[in-house]
Amino acid sequence: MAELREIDGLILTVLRGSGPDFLAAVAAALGFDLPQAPNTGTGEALWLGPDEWLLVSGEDRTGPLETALAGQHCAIVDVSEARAVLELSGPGATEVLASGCRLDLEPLRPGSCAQTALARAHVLLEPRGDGVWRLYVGRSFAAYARAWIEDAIALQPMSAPP
Amino acid sequence: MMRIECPWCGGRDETEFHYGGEAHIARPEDPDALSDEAWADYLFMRANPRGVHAERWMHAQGCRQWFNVLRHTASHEVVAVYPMGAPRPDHPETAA
Repeated sequence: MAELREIDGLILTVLRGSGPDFLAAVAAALGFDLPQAPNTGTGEALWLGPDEWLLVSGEDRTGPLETALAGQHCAIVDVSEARAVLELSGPGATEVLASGCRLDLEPLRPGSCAQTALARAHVLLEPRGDGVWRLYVGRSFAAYARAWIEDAIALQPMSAPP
Repeated sequence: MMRIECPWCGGRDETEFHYGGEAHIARPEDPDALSDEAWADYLFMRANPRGVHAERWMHAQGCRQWFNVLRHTASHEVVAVYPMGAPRPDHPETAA
């Protein structure tokens, strides 16, 4: 049976900006390049838009980024309190998600991510491999999303399909 | 249900998008110089064809980017997707 848990303590930062100077300064400050292809992610940085990324970290990134990007047109916003991070795992986790999500989840692999609607709530999905999914949901939607997912888990057949 | 091809995220359900009205309506350079009739025409008058219509859409539950779409208003067929600011692509009105 699939299991749902909330992950606490991650620091989430939304980073916006564009241009070679911006990307070079960010790469120098973070130690890795931001993903450029739509709907891809490195685990530490997830693509949200052509000029927008979500940084996921155990440490606060805003200080080093503000220093590296001083004077540039950009946005660095700590959204740790604004998003809830949920992890769905176990047998049938993908089926639970698929029952409330119109996006085809089958092609999604680790290294990709997707923003879509889960039971009409805006959610950022990140496949972590082995049927484990990380979900980033707006804090105000988190209670609803948790209740909906727990309900969907209870509605799944007891035995996983062959 | 329509499927719209987001230029960044690929084909997604209509429910993930916001509609932004008719495309290619430029704000007049000097609104003070317009007659009331011309200003009202800019504000309120829109094309309402039975056929291919140029309109703006935004991928609200995805990458939140705006883009233009040519859509057939009777069949809902999306015949073209192109960037904001680009000219309307040529397309025969009869396509359906």
